[in-house]
Amino acid sequence: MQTLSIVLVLISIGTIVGPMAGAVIIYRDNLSQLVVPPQINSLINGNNNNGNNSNNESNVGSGNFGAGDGGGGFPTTTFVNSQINDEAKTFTVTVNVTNNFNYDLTINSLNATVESSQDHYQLGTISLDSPVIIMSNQTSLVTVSGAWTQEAADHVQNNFAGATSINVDLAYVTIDVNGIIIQQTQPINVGDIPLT
Amino acid sequence: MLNKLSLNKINIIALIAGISTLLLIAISVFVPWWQFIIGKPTIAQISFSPVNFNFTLLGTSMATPLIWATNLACFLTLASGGIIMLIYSLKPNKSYSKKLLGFGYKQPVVAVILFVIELIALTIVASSVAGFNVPLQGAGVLQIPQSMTQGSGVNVSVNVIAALEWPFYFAIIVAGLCITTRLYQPKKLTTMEPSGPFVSMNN
Repeated sequence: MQTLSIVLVLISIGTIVGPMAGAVIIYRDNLSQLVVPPQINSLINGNNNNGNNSNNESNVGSGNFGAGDGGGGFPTTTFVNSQINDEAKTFTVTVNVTNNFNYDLTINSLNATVESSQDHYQLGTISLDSPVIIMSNQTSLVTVSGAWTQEAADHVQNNFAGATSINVDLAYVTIDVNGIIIQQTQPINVGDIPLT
Repeated sequence: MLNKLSLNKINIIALIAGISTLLLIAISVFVPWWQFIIGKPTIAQISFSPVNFNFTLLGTSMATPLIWATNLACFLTLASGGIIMLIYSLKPNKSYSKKLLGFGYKQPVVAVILFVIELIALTIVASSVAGFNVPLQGAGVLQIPQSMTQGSGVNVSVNVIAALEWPFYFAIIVAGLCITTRLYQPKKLTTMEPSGPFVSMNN
């Protein structure tokens, strides 16, 4: 009976202490590796396989992600073309988005309001035509459509008469990537849009 | 007749509890007790059971040796509990049986209790330290606190889904079986212990 009690106590201790002690002994030279996965270390150290952005590329986000095994940085965008349909009062902007992650990304939605930088008058809206899947380490064309109203056209004619371009902001920008919804609280200045 | 006598000597509930415990271990390695999915489609995923913890971010599994060791400890503890429960079920009337049962029945019960405590602690810690309201069950939108996105001019929220999977409920049943075995034990000893003239006849 006494022996059995001792055996059971030893089993209790051994099953818990054994694996823990084993892990500690294996990683005794670098105990931080016990808790922090090597992938996280890569993130912290900022390893970036694809951090070279050319001048015509914009890096979405405030810095390089350095995803190590998980990827090579935030997606980058490159302007491709834009089309304006005056009669329908619509326009489309096409950009190339490069997914630098080793993981497929889905842009579920993108919405924003276009407004004049000068008087913050709402000129129109833009949105993503349909969800876009960008395969890992691939580039996909993303087309954003927009429309402006007759009131906006009248406003521009009345307030920007003679102007060849108008400086616009994107306000209330909301983008949903893989269910992560990012809402821009401050307007993003797009620059001058030609009026002629 | 001999078979019937042998069956009578087996504690059936303990046998089922022991087999269920070993079955639970095998299931828990592959199917989590609780799953937390971030993003739609999934961008990160936590699959959690006492014997397996898996965190995947952007398709990359993040494993830490400490968690692996903890999982292995739970695996061995549950396995020893299941095996000892099986031994007890086959020898329920020996002098040492109560000790076997006392050890065996606790392991799944402790595993379930610790798991629930860990989940509740996780939500409390996530809420109080990071400001995340992590749901334990169901879909929700996890709002990243303003303090984390301060200065970047963005509000970030994430679609999340949390679900307690069927092995968790199976674990509760196994724990219930183990407790039942423990509660049943004194009765069994009383009813099966021979007394009076049968003592000398059986011995």
